[in-house]
Parts: sequence; structure tokens; C-alpha cells
Amino acid sequence: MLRHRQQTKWLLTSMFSRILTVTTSSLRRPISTSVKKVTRSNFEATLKKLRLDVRESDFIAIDLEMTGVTSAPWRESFAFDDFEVQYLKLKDSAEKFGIMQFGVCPFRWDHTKKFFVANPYNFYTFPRKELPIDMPSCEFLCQTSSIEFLAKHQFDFNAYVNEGISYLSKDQETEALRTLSFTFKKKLRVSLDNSIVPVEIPLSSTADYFFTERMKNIFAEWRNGILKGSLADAHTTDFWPQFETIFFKRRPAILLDGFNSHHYNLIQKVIKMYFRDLVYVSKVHDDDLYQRNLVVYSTSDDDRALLMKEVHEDLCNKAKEKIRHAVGVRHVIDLLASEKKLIVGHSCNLDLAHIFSKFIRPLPSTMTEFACSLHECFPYIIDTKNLLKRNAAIQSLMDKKRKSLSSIFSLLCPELSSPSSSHTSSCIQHVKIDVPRDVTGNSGAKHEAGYDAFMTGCVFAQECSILGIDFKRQMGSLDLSKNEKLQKHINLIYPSYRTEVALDLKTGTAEIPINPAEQYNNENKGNIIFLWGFPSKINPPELRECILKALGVAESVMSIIFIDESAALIQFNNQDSASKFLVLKDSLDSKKSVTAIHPLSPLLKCGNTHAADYATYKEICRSSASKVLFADQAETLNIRWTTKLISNNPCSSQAGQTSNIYLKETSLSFVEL
Amino acid sequence: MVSHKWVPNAVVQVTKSNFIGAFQQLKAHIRESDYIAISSQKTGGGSALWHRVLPIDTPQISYLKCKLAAETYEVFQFAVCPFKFDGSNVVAFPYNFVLFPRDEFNIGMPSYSFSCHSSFLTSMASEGFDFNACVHNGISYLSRVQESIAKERNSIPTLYEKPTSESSSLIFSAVDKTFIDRIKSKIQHWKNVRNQPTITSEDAFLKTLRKFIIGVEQLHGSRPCLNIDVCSHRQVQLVTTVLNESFDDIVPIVITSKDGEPKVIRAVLTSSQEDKNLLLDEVQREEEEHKIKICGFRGIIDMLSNSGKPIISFDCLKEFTYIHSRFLDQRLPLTMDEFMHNLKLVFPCIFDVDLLMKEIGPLRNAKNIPASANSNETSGKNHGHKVLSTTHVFAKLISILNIKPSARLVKCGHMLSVEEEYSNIFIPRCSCNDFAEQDETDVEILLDDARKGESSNIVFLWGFEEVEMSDASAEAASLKVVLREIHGAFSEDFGLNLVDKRCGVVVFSKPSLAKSFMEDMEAGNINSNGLKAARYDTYRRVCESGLWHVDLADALNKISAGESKSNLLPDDLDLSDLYLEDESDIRLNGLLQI
Repeated sequence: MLRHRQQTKWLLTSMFSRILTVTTSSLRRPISTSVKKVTRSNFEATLKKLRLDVRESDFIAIDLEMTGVTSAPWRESFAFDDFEVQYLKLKDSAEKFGIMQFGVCPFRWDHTKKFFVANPYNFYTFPRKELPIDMPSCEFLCQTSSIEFLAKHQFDFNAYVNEGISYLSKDQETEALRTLSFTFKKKLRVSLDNSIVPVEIPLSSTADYFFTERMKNIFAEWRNGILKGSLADAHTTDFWPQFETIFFKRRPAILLDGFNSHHYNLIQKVIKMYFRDLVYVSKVHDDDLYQRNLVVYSTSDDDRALLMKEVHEDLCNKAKEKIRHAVGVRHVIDLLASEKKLIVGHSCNLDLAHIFSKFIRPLPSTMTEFACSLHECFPYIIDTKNLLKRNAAIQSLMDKKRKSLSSIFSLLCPELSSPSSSHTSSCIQHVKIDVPRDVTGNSGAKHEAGYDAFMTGCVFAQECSILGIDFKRQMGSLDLSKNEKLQKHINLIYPSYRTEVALDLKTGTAEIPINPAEQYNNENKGNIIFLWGFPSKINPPELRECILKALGVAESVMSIIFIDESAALIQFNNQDSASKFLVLKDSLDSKKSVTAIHPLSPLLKCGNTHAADYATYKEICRSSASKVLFADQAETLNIRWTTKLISNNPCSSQAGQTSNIYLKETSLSFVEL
Repeated sequence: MVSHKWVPNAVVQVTKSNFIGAFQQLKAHIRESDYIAISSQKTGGGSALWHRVLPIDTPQISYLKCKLAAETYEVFQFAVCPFKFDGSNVVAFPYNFVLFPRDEFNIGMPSYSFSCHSSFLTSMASEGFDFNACVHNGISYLSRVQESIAKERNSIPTLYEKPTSESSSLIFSAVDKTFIDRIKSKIQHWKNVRNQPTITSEDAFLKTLRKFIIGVEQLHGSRPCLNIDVCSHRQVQLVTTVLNESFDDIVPIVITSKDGEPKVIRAVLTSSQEDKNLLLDEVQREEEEHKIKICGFRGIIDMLSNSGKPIISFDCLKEFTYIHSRFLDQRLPLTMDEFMHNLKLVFPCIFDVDLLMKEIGPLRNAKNIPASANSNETSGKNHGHKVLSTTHVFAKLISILNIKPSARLVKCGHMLSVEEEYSNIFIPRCSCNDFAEQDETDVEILLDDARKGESSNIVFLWGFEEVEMSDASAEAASLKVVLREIHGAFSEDFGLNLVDKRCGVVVFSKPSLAKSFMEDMEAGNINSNGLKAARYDTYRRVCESGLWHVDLADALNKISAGESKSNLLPDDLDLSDLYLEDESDIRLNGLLQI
């Protein structure tokens, strides 16, 4: 074993000395990686710069920080989860939790200086309600431990809430635009219609009467001035400080100022009633579009309609601009999708699910659909974890216990991770990575999305060189997405960190596993049953003891895993044993009272112990409720039965029969007792 | 009517760092107070519009909705304000506690996860709330039930173990005797050495040897002590017994390790009987503080409960479902009756300010009272000012309603008849109209004349997307026009309110109209074009069975399709006749106010 490792090391060393000959001593200086902090205030400007960086980049590393990972302990991934359950858990997490930071780091290979240039960005994202329409995404779950974890790493929660950039998914944007165009169409229709209908002016006081009369005179005078063709005459209103003649959309207009809302209301009515050729344009609330109310002169009915249309177009454009603004962080996703560059993530299954559900559309119900839709948006995705797992050379370097991104980073990129320490005589010679210094940037720290994205990209660059990609010999564009050495790693992601089988994003199915045993694990779930609602004091050995005694067959239980304090998975050595157990439990349930000497009595004594097959487990995982205990989650499905027999299987009737016979035997033995 | 002078003190902001001090201070203020006002700030208030309490909800349904919210969201700020009537003054002492459900003992408690609504967070942010301080320095808590679970599992570290009092009944074996003698001589020797004048010229080797035999003298606070290692509860008993019996001036303190096992006994030397008492007090105080730290903010709730003082709050149903779920028991009872019963055991006297306002409601402009009280407050970064306004409003109401502030009587368990009349009656507050960003037209219920408040008048409608001609964003007015063409029952005046985008509530003026419409609907006599309708009962069953879908229409569909009846919902549980009695309580006057 040791010899084998040494051999690989030697192999590596020789490989590197062949590929990379230039050390980085000339460029070595203490680097503190500066990560650009992007919030609401500098988003628009940063987006412009990012656009350039992404366009020129060879690959883009991404990373997310979320408000949590699992909504309940039983939603964590287990080795026995099949592909579908893995996806259901991924989906649940992405749907319930929010994104707090989105890290993007474009890497560009500098052909002349022979190094990568990295530009890390850290976007704070917060689901703000920017538009007056209902957005369900404004609510999100927080996992207490995740929040505490981020707090330990100096996460700035105030920046997140106060300054975080909002977003709309593609679906939400479409919906917002649809609602908008409808509202404006209707508003325009109403405003044009009303011009014909005479209105009544409610006069509640003599003061109102005098006011309307005065307004009538002033507007008549002003209009006559215009009709005479001289604007100078129109300036007769100069002695009224509240009126100012201006031009509005190439038409003469009066700017109204200094009235209260009641007076504005009266003026509006006066205009509607007495002046066909004047148009009242009211200011728009909280908008800088038209700051004050206006009365505009139009030459004809056609001109008037044209004016109204123009005003509405203005308003419509303004609203569109608002929606564009509300799209927020999704502009970054659109940018990444449109450039079709290679996207690099580190165990990025959850990141991708979040990106899909937040920025594209709600997650589909099946993993295949998810994979294919994602592939359409991002045709080239690579997971650095995948490279680590599959490459023996990298595997041999790894410390088995330390698999976190930061430890891989310090292993593969020692000079970047600890710039102050002198370069140890490592056997690996590294691809040089440079980060342009930015005065506005913050010094990066781990578990900050921008810096994590940077680390991911660096790890990827080193992995590439270990795989034998020689950046220095590349002429012109690197075009990594087409590189043949990466082809067998591209578009393969692991749906959970537990699984060894990757999902092929191109086909939406599981890739052919390297280890055939895995496939078995994924298909045969008939021997697994789930048990929940039993007394909480029972521990796994006791549970096993109960079941073995009840079934009377030694070795029939392969393993027992507690998925949380309220539920356990029991794996029998074959399907028969599993159905036998269910039949036995069902018969005991129907008896209502179980004798204390029955081996299953400690398990059933609280009367709420449920047992079911793997399909039910899937159903419970699919349910959107977020109860902390599995037993409570099952309850939300309003399950009435306590035991679900395996019935959909064709051989189950046979199994049922055998178990019946068997049951008689056991009941006999109890009589003997 | 007596008008009181309003004398509020500055709000004390409490975080983890000043919690112990504030705890003692508040205790003293509560002791002297007549009433205690409370108010809390949550991270959300219902993910879908119909999850909030609506004017058509019966108290039971309102309770279920508050229960859902209490189970979903977290409390970030909790303000407590004891106040008293001091002559003609109202003197208030407001405290604002910043909370965060930190898992202090790594036991997955108090809450694994919680929901946030961004609009609630932004409104907190606009008041200058410091989220970093909240996460880093917020006070955690364990509910009463959680604490007992944690104790059962031995997962809370104890500071000192209480020596068992059965020392007299100890029967010493020969081994025990040797052990006791060894300890005794060790301590005696240590004391002797201490009393001897220090020999400066003592050999270094001797010193080391002595240290090796006796152990290294350490300090417990300012007092010298000697640590004695123990490895069982039996040994703890033996050592404490021998120390107590043989030495007057030594106090044994048992230090436990993280897993609750005794680790070491600290024999602390005191200089006199006085000093000994002082030390014992000190130990007791330390233990108390440790206890306060363990239950965290829950200690304040216990303090409120133990004080027996009347508790004052706005929107009591919401506040107390939170208090129940966070600080008493996570599992809220299924019915409001049971909840009120449980609550009464913990808080015998609660005044809902909403109820008192309603009392004076029609006569005076009740809505102006909180406004007038608010205008007196200094707003800005002063969190917890809401509790002050509650206090202020209550003080005004109490003088209007002529309730004599007499805490003395309450303490004796005989509340004044007036107070009895108002205590522990909650008015579920309809929260749909105080949600700032709500589109006004959505909840506009057009009821122009008073109607009898019976649920048989109410019909839920959905599926009108297809009915509408051009757009899904149907407005109540245009839907009304469509409905008039569909059925004759709509020819008479009726109220229509959109609960959310896809579902509306119709309030008929007569039950017979609702009945005839529903009968024709069920018989399929109406060309409904996708329009679906359900009785109030279906809505009640939706809430009872916890089908909290985002759209009410989906939930109604599920229940009325009978799908849940056939295979999921128990047949024997007929939800329809559970809460008939509270039907008359549907607050249609609430409908009219909107």
C-alpha cells in the first residue's frame, strides 16, 4: 500500500517536472486575495465589469452560501437513499432554504505571463420584495446550526439583510411583465374612455366653488394665449407663483405646484369637464418620472390620444426598468448561461439545485427532468469533487480525513493558502494564479462565497495540470470545455455526498457505475422497511433483539439504522423476512392489545408504532412539510394505517401465505410459553 | 376618569452579555409592579395570505393559524415592561431582550430550523436592528419541556453536583475506612503545612515531594483549596461526609465533568464560620446563575408566570401561542379550549388590549389611541418601544374603563369583578390588513349593510381563472359581474373578497341563497366553466387537517374532491361537528370594518 503510494508520488513528480518547469519564485509575494463585495449599491457598476471578465474567461468557478442545508435530521443523506430520494432531499433543501451569498470567480489564462488571472466577486443576495406583486420566494427557512456556523466565520448578516441584492426567476419575470402590460393596457383604456364622459364636480363648500371658478378662468386664459399663437401671452400666468409654463413632450404645459391633494383633485375635474384639449397628467407615486402634476395642451383629439399613449409608454418603460432592476442577481446567471463557459463548482449539487429553483424556475418533480433542463442552461459543468474522486493520482495525495474545500486548497495550492510561509519543497509544482488587487475588495476568508469560488477555481486549475493539461503549451483559447482530458469528468455531478454514482446531466440518468455493487444498492429496496413512532428509549440493539425474537430466525436482520430519534430503517436479508415482519405487525395491530410477553410488545406498547415499505419513505420525503421528527412528518400525510403491507409486488401473495403459516407457528410457541 | 401622568424609563437593551444583571434587575421591578406589558417581534407572519387570520375565521380557525405561525417562525426580540401606578403617575420599566435560538449545549435545541419572511427582516432592519449582534449575542432559551428532556438525557452540563444528604445512612466497609482515613490525613496535613510558618530555605526537592503527596494547593476564588480526584458517586459521598464531619472550616464542592459524572471534589478552606457562610452563599448564587444561563430567556417567562401579575398585550392569541410553543411546550394543543386551559395554569390573568379597545370601540375612536400613544414615544433606534405604547394604551384604557389598578387583589386570587370580566379572553386579531405590502383591493370586502354572522352565509369560490375572459388577475368587481350571470343567488347584493389570487369568499345576505347556490352547484345545474365552490365547512376542514398549501384553492380542491376522505383522513373523525358552538362568533363586524 505504502509502496503503491510512493510509486504514484514518484509518477506525479516526474509528470510535473515534465509539464511545468517554471517555478513561481519570481512572482511570489504575499498575496491576500481581495474579493469584490457586491451589494445593492454597487451592483449595476460591478455587473458591467463582470460581463467583461466573464467574456474573457476560460472557466468560471461558483459557490453559494445558504441559510441552511437540511430542514430536518432525517432529511440528511443516507447510504441507502436511492437516486429518487436523493433528488427529493436535494429539492427539499433548495426549495426551503435561501441563498445568502453568491460567489462568482472568472479565471482567465494570461498567455504572455503564463498564469491564471482570477477575479472573485461576492454577491450578497436577499429575497427582497421589489415589485408590488406577490412573490412566494420571500419566505425561507434558516437552519440554526448553519447560521451559527456562518456567524463563527464572520458572516455579515446586516449586509445581507440591508444590502443584499434581490432577484426574480425567469418565470417570475415573465409573470411580472405580463401583469404589468395588462395593467397598463387597462389604465390607458380607462384614461381614454373617461375623456368623453362628463364628470360632476362635487362642491362641498363655497371655497371649493370659488377655487374651481378661478381655475377655470386661469386655464381658459392660458389656453387662449396659446391659441393666439404666442407663448408670451401664455405667460400671463406668471403672476401665479403656482403655475409655470414649460414644454412637455413638445407641447406647452403648465406645471402645477403647491396645492393640496384635494385641490389637485378639483383641478383634474375642471380640466376633464371644461377643456377637451387640455390633459391632466398626474405624478407617479415614489417615482422620479414626472415629479409634479401637469396640465398639457393638445391640438386635437388625435393629438390627445397620442399624448396619452406617450405618457403611458413612459410609465410602462419605467415599470419595465423596475422589473429589470428587480431581476437583480439573476442577471449574473443569465450572463453565465449566455456565455456558455465552463462552470466549475465544488460538490455543487446543492448549488446547482438552488440556482435552478431561485433563478430559472421551480424544480421539476424528477431528477431526469432537472438534469436535462439544467443542461440546457449550462452545457458545461464540472465538479472538482468529481476529479478528486476519480483520479488515482489526486486520490493518493489526499488526506482521507480532511476533505473540505479549504484543506484540499491548502494541499494543492499551498502558496495561495498561506502566502506568508515559505514555499515548502512540495513535490507538486503549481499552476500560477494571480489575483489583481482591488482597493475596494475585502480580504477573502473561507466560507465566504466569493473566496470559496476562488479556492474552487484554483483547485480546478491544479487538478487540470495533474490530469496532464499543459496550459503553457496551449495556443489561443484554452477551450477547456472541449478538452479531451476533461471529457470523462464533465457534466457529471453527485446528487448527494454519500453516493458513488454520479448523475449524467446530458442524459439525466445515472452514469454506469464503476462498482457494480452500487447498482444493486440502488435497485433492491424490497428488503427494507421503515419503523417509526416507537418508544424513544429503545436503542438499535434492543430493536434488533425484538425483531429477531419475533421472527424467530437468526441473521434475518442485516442492519438497523436510526434515521432520527423517532424512526429507524431495518434492512432484512431478504424480501420475505421483511414482509413477514409487516404481516406479523399488522396482525398484532388488529388485535388492539398485545400481550406483554410478546417479543414485539416493547416496540408496540405505545400503540402508535408505524411500519411501512420503501415507497412510503419516498412519499414522506416528497411531502413538503418540514417537521423536525420523521414521525411527525409522517403524521402530516394523515396516514391512518399503522402497517403497510407490501402488496404491489406480484410475489407478495406468496410471501403473505408463507408468513401466515409461519404466524401460526409463532403463536403456538407463545401458547407454550 | 383619572388621567395618569406617563413616566416611561429608557428601554434597557438586553443581550447575552448583560443578561444575568438584567435578570436580577427585572425581578426587582416586577416585584414592585402592578402590571406587566409584553410584546415580541417575530421573523414572519404567514407565508400565504390565507394563512393569516381573516375576518371570517372562527376563534378555533384563528387559533390554528396562530399555531401554525408559532411553530414556523422564531422570536428575535421580546420586550417586557413592568409598570405601576404610583400616585398619579404611570411608571414603566421597559426591557428589550434580543433572542437567538442558539444551540448552546449542542443538543439540537431549542430549534433545529425556523422560517423568515424577508419583509419582516427588512422592516426590522429599517428600525436599525443589528442582526449580527442578534446571531452572536442573542439570548438562547430552552422551553420547559426541552429542559426536562435535556435533563433526562443528561446533556446539560451541571456546575456543581449537590452532595446527597443520605450521608448518615452510609455504612462504611473496610476499604471505605482506609479511603476516608487517607483523605482525612491528607487534608489534615495540608492544613498543618499551611499553618506552619513558611520555611524559605526548604529544599526544592522536599517541596516537590510535598506537592506530590498532598497535591498542589489551588485557589477557589480568593480562597485556598485542594482538589481531590474521585471516580464514583460512592467516593463523592464518602469524601463530602468526611469533610463535613471532620473539618468545620472546609467546604466540599463537587465539580462534574461534561457528561455529568463527578470529576473532582474541591476542598475549600474558609477562615471563619462567617467566611464559610459567605462561601456557601456564593456557591448558591453561582448555581442560580448557571441555572439562569441554562434556561436562558425562558427564565424571564417563568418569572412572569411566578409573579402572578396581570400580563398586558396586544394581539394576545398570537403572542401567547408563541410563548407556549417557544417557552413552555413546542407541541401546541389541537383546540383553542385546551390551549386556553393550559395557558390559564401558567398565566392566570392576561388582558388583551384589543378586547379592552373593543369595549370602548364604537363610542370613541379606538384606533386613535395607539396612534396618540405612539406619538409620545421617541422612535428611532430604541427597540422595544412597542411595549411602551402597549403600556401607555393600557394605562389610558384603564382610566376610561374605570378599572382600578389594584394588583393587591389579584395577588390574593380575588380579582375585581371588572378585571375578571376582561381577563383571559382573547380577540383573534385579523392580521391581513396590517400587512403593509398587501394589495388593498385584495381584502376589500364590500359589505354595505349588516348581515347575520353565520358561516352558512359564506361560500368559497375558486377556479375562476377560466371564467375570466382575458386575465388571471381577476378583480373582485369584474368577478362579481360574471357571477351575477351564473346564478340567481347572486342577483341580490352580496359581498365578495379575494383571499388570494385564485380564491374568493362570497358572503350572501341570506343562508338560503348560499344553500340554493351550493345545491345547484353540487347537482351540476350550473354551467360553471371551471368555477368551483365550497361551503364554510370545507374551509374549516382544510384548516383542521393542516393542509396549508400556498393557494387556498389547492387545499379546498383536495378536501372537496374527497380524496383525503377516502384514503388519508380518518373516517371516524368527523370534523364538521367539532366546533359548531363557536360559529356565532365569526366576527362579521370585522368584515364590515375593512
